[in-house]
Amino acid sequence: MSKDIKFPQEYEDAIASLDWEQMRVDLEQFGRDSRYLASIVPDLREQHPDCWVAVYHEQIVGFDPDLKELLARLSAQGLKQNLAIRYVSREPVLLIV
Amino acid sequence: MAIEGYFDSSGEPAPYVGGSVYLPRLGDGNRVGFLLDTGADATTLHPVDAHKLGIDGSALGPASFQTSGVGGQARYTPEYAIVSFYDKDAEDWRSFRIQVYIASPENQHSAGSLPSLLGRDILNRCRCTLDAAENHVVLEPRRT
Repeated sequence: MSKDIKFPQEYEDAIASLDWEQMRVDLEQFGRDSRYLASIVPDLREQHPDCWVAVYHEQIVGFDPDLKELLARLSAQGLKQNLAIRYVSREPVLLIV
Repeated sequence: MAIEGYFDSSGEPAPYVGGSVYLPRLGDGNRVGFLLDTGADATTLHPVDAHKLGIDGSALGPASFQTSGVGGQARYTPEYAIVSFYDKDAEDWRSFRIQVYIASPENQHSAGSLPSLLGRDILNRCRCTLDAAENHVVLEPRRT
């Protein structure tokens, strides 16, 4: 069974310097955004078919068929972190992983 | 300790959990929604999350791991990561120091729209409760 990997001390130092309280706040919002995005997929299939759709604070903040284009546009608006993003195909796709 | 996820019911309900991923070598971090996948040996980041993390293919080492799946074979690059989940009940984080496997840009077509996967390297260290009818996804990490 897997166990934690022992990281070099410099990695541990970087981890210790993270803002864990801000990460907690961001993760809670990300959870709400992800649930919201999942809930509107049926509508998105009609509104933005075959596009990547980004949600932030439970609002659609962008969509584009090209993921890199979408992220570049949102990044220019200061939105890079904590986005909930998924690809919305016109028809449901059977996922087998 | 219990980490709560949710079922994505946009299709056949699928269990997800949100976590924070930080790659200490690259100094990049972001939030990632993981599909729980007991069929995956390891936790993987697929292109949507690799892009969100700002990972430039040139910053990664060579895609040295060949993997097999139902969709065929693909290549992934291992990278040190700390994958963390927040337990609201305990008001504390539970972190896993692992190697995540990042889909090579050459897999862009096949892996492009796939969610990132939480594999057995983490799932085997948790008690997992899944109940789609009750929208109940709970991971309880074992104390080590």
